[in-house]
Amino acid sequence: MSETDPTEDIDLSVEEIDPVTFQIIKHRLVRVTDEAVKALKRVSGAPNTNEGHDLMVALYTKDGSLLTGGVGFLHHYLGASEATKHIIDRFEGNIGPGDMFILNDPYTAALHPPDVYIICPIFHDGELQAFSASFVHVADIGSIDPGGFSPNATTVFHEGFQTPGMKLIEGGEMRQDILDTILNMSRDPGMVELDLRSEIAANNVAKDRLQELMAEYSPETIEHVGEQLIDQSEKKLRKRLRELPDGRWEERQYLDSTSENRAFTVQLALEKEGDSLRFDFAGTDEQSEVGFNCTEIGTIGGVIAPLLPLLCHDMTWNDGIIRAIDVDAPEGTIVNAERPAPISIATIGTLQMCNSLSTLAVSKLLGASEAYADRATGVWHGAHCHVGLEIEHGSDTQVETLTDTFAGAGGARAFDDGVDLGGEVVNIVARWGNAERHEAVLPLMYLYRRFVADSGGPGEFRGGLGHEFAVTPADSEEYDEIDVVTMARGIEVPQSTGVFGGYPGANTDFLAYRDGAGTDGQYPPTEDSLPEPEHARWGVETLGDDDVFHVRHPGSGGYGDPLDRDPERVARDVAEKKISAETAREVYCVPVDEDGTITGSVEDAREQCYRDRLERASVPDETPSPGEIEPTTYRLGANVAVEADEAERLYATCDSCGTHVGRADEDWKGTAAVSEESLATVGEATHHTAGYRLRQFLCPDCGTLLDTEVAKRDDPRLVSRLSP
Amino acid sequence: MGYRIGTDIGGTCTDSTIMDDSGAVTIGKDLTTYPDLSEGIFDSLRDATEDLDLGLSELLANTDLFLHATSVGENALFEREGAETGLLATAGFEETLHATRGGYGRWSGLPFEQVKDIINTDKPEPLLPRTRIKGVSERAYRDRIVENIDDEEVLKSIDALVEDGVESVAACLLWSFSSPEHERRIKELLSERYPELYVTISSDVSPTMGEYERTSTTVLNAYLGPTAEEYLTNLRSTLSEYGFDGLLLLMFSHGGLVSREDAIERPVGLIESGPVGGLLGSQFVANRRGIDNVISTDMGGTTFKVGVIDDNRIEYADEPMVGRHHYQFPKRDIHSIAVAGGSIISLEEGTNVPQVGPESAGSDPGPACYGRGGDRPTVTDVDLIQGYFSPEYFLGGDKTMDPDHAYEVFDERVADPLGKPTEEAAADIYKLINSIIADLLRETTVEKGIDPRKFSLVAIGGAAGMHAASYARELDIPEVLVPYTASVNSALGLLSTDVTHEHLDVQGIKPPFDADQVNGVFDDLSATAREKLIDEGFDAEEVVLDRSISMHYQRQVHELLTPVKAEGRLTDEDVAATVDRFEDLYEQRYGQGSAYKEGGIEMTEFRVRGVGPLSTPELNEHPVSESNPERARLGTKEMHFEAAGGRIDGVLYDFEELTPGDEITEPGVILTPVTTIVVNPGDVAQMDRYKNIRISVQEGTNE
Repeated sequence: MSETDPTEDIDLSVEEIDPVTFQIIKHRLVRVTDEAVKALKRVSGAPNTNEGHDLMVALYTKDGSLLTGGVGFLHHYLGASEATKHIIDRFEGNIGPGDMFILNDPYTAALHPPDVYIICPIFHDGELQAFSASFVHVADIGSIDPGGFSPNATTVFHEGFQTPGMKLIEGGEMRQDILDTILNMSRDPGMVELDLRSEIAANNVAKDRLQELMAEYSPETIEHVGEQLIDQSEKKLRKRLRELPDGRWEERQYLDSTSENRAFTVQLALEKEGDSLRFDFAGTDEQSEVGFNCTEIGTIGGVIAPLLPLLCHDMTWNDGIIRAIDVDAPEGTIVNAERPAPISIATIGTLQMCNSLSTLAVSKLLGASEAYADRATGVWHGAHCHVGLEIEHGSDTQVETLTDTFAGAGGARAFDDGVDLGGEVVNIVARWGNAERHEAVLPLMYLYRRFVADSGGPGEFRGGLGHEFAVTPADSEEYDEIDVVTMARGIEVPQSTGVFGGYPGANTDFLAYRDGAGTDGQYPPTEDSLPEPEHARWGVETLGDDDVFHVRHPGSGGYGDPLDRDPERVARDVAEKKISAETAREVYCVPVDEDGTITGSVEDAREQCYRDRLERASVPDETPSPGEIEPTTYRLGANVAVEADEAERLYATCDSCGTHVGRADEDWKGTAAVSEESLATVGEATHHTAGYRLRQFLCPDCGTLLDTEVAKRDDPRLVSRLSP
Repeated sequence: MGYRIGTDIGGTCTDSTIMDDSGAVTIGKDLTTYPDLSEGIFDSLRDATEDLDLGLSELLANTDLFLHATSVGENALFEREGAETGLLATAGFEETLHATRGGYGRWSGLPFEQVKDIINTDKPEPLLPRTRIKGVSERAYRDRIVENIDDEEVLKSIDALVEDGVESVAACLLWSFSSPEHERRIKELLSERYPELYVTISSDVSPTMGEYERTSTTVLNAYLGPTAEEYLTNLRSTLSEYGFDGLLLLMFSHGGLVSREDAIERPVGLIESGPVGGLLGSQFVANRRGIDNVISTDMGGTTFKVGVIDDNRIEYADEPMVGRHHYQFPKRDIHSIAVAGGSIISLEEGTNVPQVGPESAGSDPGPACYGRGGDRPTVTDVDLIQGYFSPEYFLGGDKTMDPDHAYEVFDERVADPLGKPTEEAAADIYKLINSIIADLLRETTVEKGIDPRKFSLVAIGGAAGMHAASYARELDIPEVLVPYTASVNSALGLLSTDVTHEHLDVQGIKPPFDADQVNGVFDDLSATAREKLIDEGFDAEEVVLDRSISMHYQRQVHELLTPVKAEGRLTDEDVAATVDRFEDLYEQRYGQGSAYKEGGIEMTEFRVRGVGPLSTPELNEHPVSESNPERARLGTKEMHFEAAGGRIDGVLYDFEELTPGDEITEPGVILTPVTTIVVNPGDVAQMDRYKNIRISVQEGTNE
């Protein structure tokens, strides 16, 4: 363990500028991006931007470093920074006032082709001072499948229009030839034009407001405040990192690819030393043959995005934070694919998995310090369930999406349950559109849109519930054909894994019930009348007039040992149908009836559960027995304290019974009791296959659950270790 | 003939205005009383009657109209004292309320700094648990029923809810705003079986598209209904005991007055009616001066509120919320931030960067200078160090203050850590406060395409006078008006408004638009509106009906309420003109090129605002004489003015001694019994014939 003194001075004070002026300008800069985001939403008016908030606007310094970011998908801060730097290089000497550039090539900087960046240089008195950049997930860019997420693509050349950088607006004038060329490649040019115009409007607002600020305070002052803000965020983060213990935390998830009939292992190790963080993806599988892949910049963005709200919530989100972080993604793997590997599903594929892995690793780092332990969380909304729609009617083609997946679900926290349908960490202000809104513009009718009981990962605090919905075509005079595009993952193995003993949230599912109204002729079809479903996980499916299409979203990961959960909370969850009575009895060991009334002694039931756990586990012959031992302020889990002996060797100690389970500075889990359970253990909503296990690490003495892993049977256990 | 009374219950004070036959207004004020709010009403009326030399019974027996803005709804909500409520929802959509459209319920209504701290954000505690929601097997799709309702199933659900202790039932079914039959059936079934239960159906209270907001509104209404009913019934009977037999009307947040029965049916309209009354009060005062463009700012102890009146129009709020619960109601738009007199000034640990709020010392313990135990510096303490207070004249000399304590805590927590002399640090913080307010004003004007330079700023609330001229200058707002009636602004607003009902019908109409079809919708709405006002005693010819249509481009989500500017039955040309107006407004509001016209326009919602006009008060006009502010001069005192580049001797004026026509050209402060008005160097303050203080603001340094 490092001996850094948390109070060791990092001087955070602002330099060469009065703190009040600094604060006034900082406040104004935040308003600049906030207003730009609003302008984007106003001009776009599309459900995807206005409900799903699938957008971003940020300001960059004149060398392309992030200055301030507006809300939206946070990993785009990195992508747009890279894109801006690329434009600076590529167009050197040819960047003028009133210009704007477009870039959406993922192997240059974009995260995937439909997320189109528009980049705007900002001048003052003829001098380049800064950039603003925006992105929107545009309606369609002419890829093999409608909408931009392309399950049928096997190379980037199937994935539509991609530019490594073009001047779209020159000296304030739209280059119509360029715009026409782009629109000519889209199935839904009208909406794409509107998407692009909304990005341009956002950049215009950002530019105007920043120029006003520079006129008011001088460009030098604004630049100086920008530098100070960046320095300050870096210093604040480094100071925080010094307050946290050094160590190594490993995470692993499996990305199940339907069309390839295999799963990809994505492995992440976080190493924290002193005041910097290093994320290493060594051990990650090779790149995919379909668009799940992620580029290096996508992976870096994916790792850093969740850190902002989790570790840096009280800092300005800018380049200073990025400076303290290194990400190592081996080439040719799914986290750093090589061109021309397909890439279009990245943001809801591997990149989102990077979000989840980083959330877990950082949670464990935060949870290692008593001072920050309340900031640890299980995975939020581990798998987006994007549903693309193509509606053909006469000569019209409409490319739309359902906004259900933006509902998300909050991961469990160290002090409370996750928020049911609570959103996601990397897009802090998303929401879904009302069913009536969708039904008003789409020839579809929702049959249900409801919570999924048992979808929240069990734990001392339960993961937030996810939801499921079904739609069926309606008003057949409004369409000739409705195609649904799906690109699922998380069906074979849960993606919303828990933290510190928490169980994973439930799997996703995509089903098509063919001719649902056929059996009894009733419309709308009732659930009882639906025939056996087919899978609709991958590709493009045409919906027949009486078909029903069903999607189940993942719940979120739990926190801590389910047997530590307050029995009253368990009972209330049963009464509110958030968990089944069976889960209450089997997972939480609370004897309860279907109405949520506790029917027997919880203490007795739980005692039996602890005994059963140890009976099923392989228990080590002996645990370490240190001599004189002192508590530290560090931890390795909700139930794992860290203690030090006289030689400063560190021990992981069970909070419940005080047993020294193993060496905290070595492989403490190696000497814990281990049981490997079927994932069926987690609850009724969790799909289980023989290939994946719920691995539980228990106190060998009292059976308290100390850590969990979702693991392939032969995969090694994950290390969590403090530095000696 | 008789008196007309306006009373407004605020968080701290209950205000009254009494208008006599001649239009003359007398004001009264006393503390708001909890939990029985009505006590405060009568206290404040007694305060006013003292000036009128009239007994309370004598006043009330001779009063025709009792106009009232009440916070009974907010209180019931914040104290969690609403009714035990149950909800009936379309089966399969029982979770609509608790889902809150995903994270929306978790992050909306929070300041950005809190939104960033995602771990510590939660949805508001729902008004009813999941166990109080019953699914109803039924379905409407757009304008047709596709699955019929089953009476037996509904009755079974209602029985179960009643057995569980429910006192109030909400029903919100999908598409009920255009296919209300099933909700109406539920209402019938309920009134037959449980006539004593309070019932709200969404197609009555909020017939608009969007099942989450509609459900949330319906539940909120049901939750507040029984409490509002009890309160208004008691108020009516207490008033009767005093001999009042006139009409009791309630202020709604749509800016008009409604009957007690309507308020009981739709208590959700009572929410934030006081602040909306305040906005109308500002409008009234400004209109008397011939001003139609107003930015109304209210800076009290804990919040700063702003509303914009553009060419005498006030926009409706986009996504209204109370206690972070969403609701749909044509509520006038008011923005607020937690920067006001009691806001605490702190320095961020490590960086020493100063922050204003969001913590507030409120009124207890209050600012440090109040000497009531407050030991953290507040905005008011900064104002004191700026030199704007004169302890011997503080609030008319009624209250004492402890300036030394303010200096002590400010030095200890702000000036010393910043390494600056007290007064320099205070001047910096004063600037920061005004800059934060200016950012909010920019957000509510410039960012919406409104040019604040064409507006007058009205300043009300105890702390506003100290800052208004300074934040106005940041936005180059040329004129600040501090109304004579500022302390009872909302109660005055009540006297200035009319009986108003909003009627709306959601109907999707796509082009080509047919005037007959549009007339068909409006005819029904207009007939209902007219009938209602005639029932309430208005003559058919005095009733005013304003029509408007919400439209949007079919593939875009923004809807815009577009006024119909034509009389009587609409011709095809009138309809076309309204559509053109929509297109113009759309570009104006959302920016050039923002319309996706190829998607086609759709009319979605038709509104008729029925107005039964009441006579408006005449503010007392005073003779204007030649300027002679010397009479009111109390002396001088060192004060800081940014425009003077530091501290200079400022003049203290006694508001009570100023007379209309007086013009103050020297920097200083005007001390009124309720606030202090700062006059910056270069500005000119004038008392007008209504005894308002009008400040001409010198253009700021900003371009």
